[in-house]
Amino acid sequence: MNHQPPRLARAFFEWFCRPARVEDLVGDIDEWFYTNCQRHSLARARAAYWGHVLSLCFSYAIRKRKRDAKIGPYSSTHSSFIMFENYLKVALRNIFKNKLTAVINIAGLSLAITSALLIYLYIRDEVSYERHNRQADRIYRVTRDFLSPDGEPTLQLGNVAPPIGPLLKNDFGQVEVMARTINFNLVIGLEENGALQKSFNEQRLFLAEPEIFKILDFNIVTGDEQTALERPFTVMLSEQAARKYFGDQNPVGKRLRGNNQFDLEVTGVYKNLPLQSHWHPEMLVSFSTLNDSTIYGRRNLETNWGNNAFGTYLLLGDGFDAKQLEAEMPAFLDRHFGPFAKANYGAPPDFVASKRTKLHIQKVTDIHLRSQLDDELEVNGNINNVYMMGVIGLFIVLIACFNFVNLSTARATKRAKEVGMRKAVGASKLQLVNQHLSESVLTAFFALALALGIAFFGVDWLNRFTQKEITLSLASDLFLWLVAFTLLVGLLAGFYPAFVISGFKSVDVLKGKQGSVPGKGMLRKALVVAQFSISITLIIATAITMRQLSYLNQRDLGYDRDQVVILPYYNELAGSYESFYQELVKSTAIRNAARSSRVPTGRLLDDQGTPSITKGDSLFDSGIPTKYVTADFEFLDTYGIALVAGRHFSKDIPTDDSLAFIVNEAAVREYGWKTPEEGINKDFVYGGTRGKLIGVVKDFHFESLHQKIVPMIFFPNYYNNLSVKISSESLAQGLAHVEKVWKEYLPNRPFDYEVLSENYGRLYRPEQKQSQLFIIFSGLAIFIACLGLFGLATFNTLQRVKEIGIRKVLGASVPGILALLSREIVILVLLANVMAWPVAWYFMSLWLNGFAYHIPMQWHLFVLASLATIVIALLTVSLQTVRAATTNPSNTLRYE
Amino acid sequence: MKTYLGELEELVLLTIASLGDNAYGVSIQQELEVRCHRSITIGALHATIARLEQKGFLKSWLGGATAERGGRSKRFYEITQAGKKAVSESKSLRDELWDLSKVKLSVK
Repeated sequence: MNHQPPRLARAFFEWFCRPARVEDLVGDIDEWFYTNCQRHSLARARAAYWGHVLSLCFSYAIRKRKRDAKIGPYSSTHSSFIMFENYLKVALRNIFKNKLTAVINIAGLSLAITSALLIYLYIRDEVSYERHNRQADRIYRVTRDFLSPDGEPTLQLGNVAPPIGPLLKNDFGQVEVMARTINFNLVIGLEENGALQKSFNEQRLFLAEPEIFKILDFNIVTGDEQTALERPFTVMLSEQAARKYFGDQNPVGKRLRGNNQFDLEVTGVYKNLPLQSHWHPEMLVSFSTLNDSTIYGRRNLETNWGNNAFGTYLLLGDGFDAKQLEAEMPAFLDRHFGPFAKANYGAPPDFVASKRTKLHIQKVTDIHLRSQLDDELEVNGNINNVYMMGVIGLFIVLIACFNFVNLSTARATKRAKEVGMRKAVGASKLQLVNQHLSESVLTAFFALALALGIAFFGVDWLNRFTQKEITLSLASDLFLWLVAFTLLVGLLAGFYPAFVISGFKSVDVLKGKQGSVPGKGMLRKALVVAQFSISITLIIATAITMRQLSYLNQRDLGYDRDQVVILPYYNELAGSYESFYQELVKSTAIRNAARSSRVPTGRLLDDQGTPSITKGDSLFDSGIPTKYVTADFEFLDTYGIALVAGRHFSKDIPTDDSLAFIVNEAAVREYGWKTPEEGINKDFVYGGTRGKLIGVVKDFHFESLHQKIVPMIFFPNYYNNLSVKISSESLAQGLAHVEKVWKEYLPNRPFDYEVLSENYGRLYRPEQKQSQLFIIFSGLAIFIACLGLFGLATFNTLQRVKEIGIRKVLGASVPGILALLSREIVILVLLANVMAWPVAWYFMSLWLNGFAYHIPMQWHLFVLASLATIVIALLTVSLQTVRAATTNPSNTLRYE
Repeated sequence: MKTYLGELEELVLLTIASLGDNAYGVSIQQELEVRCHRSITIGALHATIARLEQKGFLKSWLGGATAERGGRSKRFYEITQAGKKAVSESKSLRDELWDLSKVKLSVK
């Protein structure tokens, strides 16, 4: 007897009948069911139940009850819901009635939401670096600073010397796992049947200890992560590299040729690391390969404290504090490096290792945004950019919200009667606030829908712009956030107008007195000032950024960067370089060629300590760290670097091949010589070599303009790069000639060249992007602000139409009326300027100071920006004011 | 205003009157089936009731909670003055027609 009616049928019925009350009907059919249960089988009772449900669903009774459900005896809805339906209806009517306001609000908000969304996606990508590592929060990188005698860092490296890793692991229990890596630039070739099939210059080849897999997450496709990197001369390939060399074949067990000197056996394949990683190794060669004395040598690994090229990663035990470990570093250095330096590097007895070098334990998640060391593996982002983007996004949303507030408050007077009526029939203040909040939330959601449409295209642009691979997928919780964000924007923007409007006195407004916004629109004015302050700040920032960039492009660097191509220099050329060189310059397309350790636009990272110089008659330690660049006899000529004293290297003077030095003017200044000539032909000791100083070159910008020109020294020695200067008319012809000679002398080496001017452009790419961003966002900001101003002007002139009519009748001129209507706007924009200038000044000074060489702060840019905003604001407003001022007063006053 | 009263409507009204203060959905349907041999669906019955309510011939109220049908209350119906007038008009119309009949209608 305890059979229950089919639950699904009842649920369906109750759902179908919403919002009508059908308790009695459910009771009836339940009663039938119990009766039927006694008379017939359960199945028949159930079937009958379904029959009853369907019969009722199709019947007129339910239709009528549903129709009556809103109010009346059959209603099950609470009264506030009824009102919400009414609010919605009124809101929609309002939106369609005031199309201009609605378009301004929705367009402004949707642009703002699109910007905010894109900026959010960008920021989310930037902060997600290394997060693919499951143990990301326990992974650290060891970095090393070198300090000048007065404790200033002269060099900050993300790679450290090879002995440091194992010693750390040995000394500190909290280091659970340690792994070292080193970047080698190797030519990797694939040979088949003794013939070279392909060869590539692999710049992203790393040697790595197998423990790296225990620290960082690699997705290994084939091969065993325990053993794959154990034996010397084995290599694991990324999927991309595997495809490049072996196509679709399984590479495991195959051999690759390294630098034409040794074979590497492929032991596995891993998936390329995600874009959000600080390194992207294409190949991982076993670290034990380094033990081979022809490659590096076991002894070197244990003792070479000077070769800071080893990426050293630590996995700290759970709950250990990296700060604590870092605090132990000075003692660690004094314990290990101090005695070693004294014994081997000729350090004086009072040498304190921790005073000249420092070790830091850096979170791996900080590398991308918070680390700008001198030898980062890849171009990192900048946390300041992330903050800046965040602030800009916030600003744009604020500007759009201000529009919303302004327009709604201004329009409030128009709706005073409606509010009065509602109050008269019993609406509470809270209900009115609800009504207006729901209206602004509705508008915000319209904007969201539009914004999503724009954003789908915007993401493509963003990806092209930032070279990221961001996807906009609404399936994630992003969508929830967006909805929450839109709700918040709608509530924020609707809050003030809602309270103003609901505060109207119904008696006054219904009697016909205009409901007016208290405080003479002070808030409205304040918001317009705020909007324009933000816009002006962004415009000034844009102007200064663009100026600085064009300055960077036009500044005389002190060397000639046009038509120079850079090739790697291989030591196997050393024997035949003279004939190679002659062959190169034989062509008229080639102006000159030179070898050096580094080339301009690169960094200056090598130094061999402080030179000893001759001052007066005595030789003493200058105490000035001096960076060196090895350069052959043609280097200065190839780059057109001017000499200010002494002479170039010369082939006719035998000692020039190793005992001659050339320095730059900065070095002369720092050494304390009064004139460049002072040290010429005097004794000079650098890196343990005692020779003569033969020349001084004019200062030139070897590094980017972010860096100051530092003391530099040139001398011939080993080389890594070959620079070829091509006569300006025929880059292609020149390149063809270089390639021909290259193939002749170095048939096994890939002809991979770089163009110096492109490298130069790359130095300032972050700034270029930044200026483009500024242009786009300041444009957006001013556009949205103008939208709001336009709406406000429309409304204000509409309010004053009769006043203008009377003024005209009394003899006011059109220009007079225009001035009257525009005066307020001009004052507001001027005020905005006053507020924007100090802010722009402060932040742009900070930015400019990031460049060692920059333009002075230019006041006229500020003035221009102000004028531009005033003109834009006036033009915007004039669309309305001109019409109001030229209207025939008989039209506006006809009904008075 | 004269309102047309359909045959089923009339039956339902009379049944409700005959049930007194126990006229609710199930009882009306059962009464119609037992006394008038009219088996109509629950949907048709409530549609008719809804129309009668609309015309003002019926009024209804919700009863208290009941024990036998899951605690759901019954909606009771009562014939209004207008309803009484409508059935009596209908009856007198028929009586009139009976009297005017030229054919002997009663069959024994």
